Amino acid sequence: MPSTLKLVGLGALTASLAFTAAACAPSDSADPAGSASTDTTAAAEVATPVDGGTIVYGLDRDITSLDPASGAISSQTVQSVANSIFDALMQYDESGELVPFLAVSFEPADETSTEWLLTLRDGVTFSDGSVLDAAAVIAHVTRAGTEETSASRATVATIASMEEVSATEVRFTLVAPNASFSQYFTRDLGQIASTTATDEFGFPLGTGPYVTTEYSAGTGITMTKREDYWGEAAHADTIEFQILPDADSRYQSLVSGAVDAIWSEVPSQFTGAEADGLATSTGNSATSFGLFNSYVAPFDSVEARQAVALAIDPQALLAVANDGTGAVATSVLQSTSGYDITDPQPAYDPEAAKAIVDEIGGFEFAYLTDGRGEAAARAAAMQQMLAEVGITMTIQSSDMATWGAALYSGEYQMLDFTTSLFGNIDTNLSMLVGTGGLANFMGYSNEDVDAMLAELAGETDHDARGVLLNSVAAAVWDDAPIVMYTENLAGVIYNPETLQGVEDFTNRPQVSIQTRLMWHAAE
Amino acid sequence: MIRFIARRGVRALGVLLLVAVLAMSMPLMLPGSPAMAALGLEATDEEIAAFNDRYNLGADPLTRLWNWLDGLLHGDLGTSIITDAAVTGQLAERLPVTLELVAVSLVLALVISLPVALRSAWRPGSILDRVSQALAFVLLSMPGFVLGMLLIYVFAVVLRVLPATGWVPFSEDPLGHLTHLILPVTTMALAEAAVYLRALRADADDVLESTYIHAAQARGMKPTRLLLTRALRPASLPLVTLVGLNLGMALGGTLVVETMYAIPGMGRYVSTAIGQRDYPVIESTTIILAAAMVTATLLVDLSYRLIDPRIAHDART
Repeated sequence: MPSTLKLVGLGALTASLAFTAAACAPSDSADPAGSASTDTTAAAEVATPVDGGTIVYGLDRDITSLDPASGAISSQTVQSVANSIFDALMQYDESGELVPFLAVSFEPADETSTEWLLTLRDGVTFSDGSVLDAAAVIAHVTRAGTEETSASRATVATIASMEEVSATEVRFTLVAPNASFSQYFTRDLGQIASTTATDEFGFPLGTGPYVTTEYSAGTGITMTKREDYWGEAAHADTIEFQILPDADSRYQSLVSGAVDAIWSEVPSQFTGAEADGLATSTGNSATSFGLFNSYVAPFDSVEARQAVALAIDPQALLAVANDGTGAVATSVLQSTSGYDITDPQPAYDPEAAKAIVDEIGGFEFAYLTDGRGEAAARAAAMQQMLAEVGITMTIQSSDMATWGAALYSGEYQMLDFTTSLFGNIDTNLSMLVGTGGLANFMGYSNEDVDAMLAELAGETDHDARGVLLNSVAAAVWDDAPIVMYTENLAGVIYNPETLQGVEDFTNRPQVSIQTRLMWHAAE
Repeated sequence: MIRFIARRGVRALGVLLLVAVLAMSMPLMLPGSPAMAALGLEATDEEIAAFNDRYNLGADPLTRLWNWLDGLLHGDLGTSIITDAAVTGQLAERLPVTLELVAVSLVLALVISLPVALRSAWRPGSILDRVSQALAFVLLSMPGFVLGMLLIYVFAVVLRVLPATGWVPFSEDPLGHLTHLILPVTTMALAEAAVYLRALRADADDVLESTYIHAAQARGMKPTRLLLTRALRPASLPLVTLVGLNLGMALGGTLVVETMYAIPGMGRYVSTAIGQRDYPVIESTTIILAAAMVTATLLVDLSYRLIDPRIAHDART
């Protein structure tokens, strides 16, 4: 890693694990995401929002902190919690466009996109009544860059300086051009937290529609609606988040009516929801792929990597690991990226793979998974596919901590990785395949790719960016440091008879649940 | 008796010391450095040293154990790497929850298994005997999560009379607490009852063949009194062993039930800590669980002597 990236390790790890967790998505049968969006839209068209009542929402994990700088609420899995307390400066609208939310605008202030001007809304206050102003934003971003657990330290390291232009304006000067800078402000970095006031549990206050009234790390969180919220008030009086770590009992809690909605990343739950009278709202917000360690044999050879990549049938992996839900990943550009994919990954071609193996000789390697069921199913299917072309793959199934340790220490040959990083490809591609990139665990390095990434950083024209992104992808396929598998579904399952106002995430790069928009039809 | 307790106590301390040293050696044995994982590959030596000092990770196992014991004397079991919260406080919240689960399920299991086992042994081949043996076999064959899901499906999804998941503290809502306790406790108790039933049933069968039982029966002693006053005590030695071992293991063995029913107890706490390599939590809970196991074993050994004085007599001679 380059020296400029020093001291960002914790953020990187936190972000990576968060992304990974967020990633283990999947879903729907024929077109679950589509059907989910239809359900949601239909509900929104026919029903009038009802205020009051309590919405009970089942989360899949303990929430160890409600501080955006802790990294604990930065993954998309728990954005429902983060969005309830903290408003983000930017968000994605229903068509997947990045739009201001807490900001009025966030635009480049020069031609190279090295300077950016953020303009805040007037009249926004934190839940203690203090005003959200430029100084508060600068303090928040500064803290996100210094807290050792923050997931955004690497991003803040790209900011050379911040200047308070006026009470509602901040000028960011970056270390290097970055035409996608504002995209970093949709999650923890953009979810402005007070640096001067905390709630009774010691967590920073936000400007969001709810305030925390009860908190227990292992049990749940209760939030009450703010009457002085700057925007349109939330519908439900109370949001109760319950920690329900077991996926099966979480789903049964929903079916039994004990909770109104749950977070899910389980394919069979998305496919079975309709039969249980439930609706889903999901996005292709996580990508599974294989990652080669190009520092060690056999994958220090590009031919070996290409042979493996050509021998794997992503369509079969989709059927086996994702229950047919989601989509095949054909590029580093996701289907929700907003760009056309002109240079997809080379298609499944066992004959070509066999030809390479015949030329370089058969080889063996170990494939490391993090122990999740989908990863195990994927690995078993790959083992068979590779055996057919003369490659012997052994499966190493470990837990998440061991998997993460191997990833960071480089002690693996090939590794199963699921991440939401590809959802924000504009900001994350250099991190994934740029030399020394924070998520470039493969040790991949290509001067041409680095040059295109540098050009991409300063390019503001959408079409030109699309061309550059596809060019990077094409170069990456030649070197095959990674092999793409599937785009997986993740999102919310809910009972449409009792809960409405769930947004449609079909075209958005991330599933960011907004509880303020939901209402309890039964109230 | 005092000598016996002293001897067993010393032995138990030796076991605990061994477990504690092993627990403190974990960061050296498991893959990956906690400091590196938390701070990243580019962390400086100074940062790593500060991190290790803060979480008692840097020194050798014996020094770390000494630091831990010093903290224990001051009521400080260290700080969680993940939550940055005091382990003592987190344990104080979670331990009572698991203790309640374990205690209530044990009582329920004994209430179910004792009368059924004794009546079945009294009338071998009766309908009660056959049905109870078959049910015990089914329950023993069924993994805990399957039984749990079945109970959830029946009582929460179909009948909708009990909550599927969640935990309500007694202080907040006693009735809610009770309703949330029923399914998890039943899941644990049924599995335990099956084990106790089979163990007690087999031993009671042997005891009931004894001549003193036949003699008591010939004297006209009623079956219930005979079973409770004459048969239960000698037949319960294996049961006491099983209960003791179950109690010792239950503190850390409630993971499945706590995860399935979303209960914030020790099992989930330990499991999460292991998954996140939260060594201060893993070490403290390992030593506490080992202490629970050692204490339970000691109590079982002591109870043998109370149940059957011949054991103490044999030991003396």
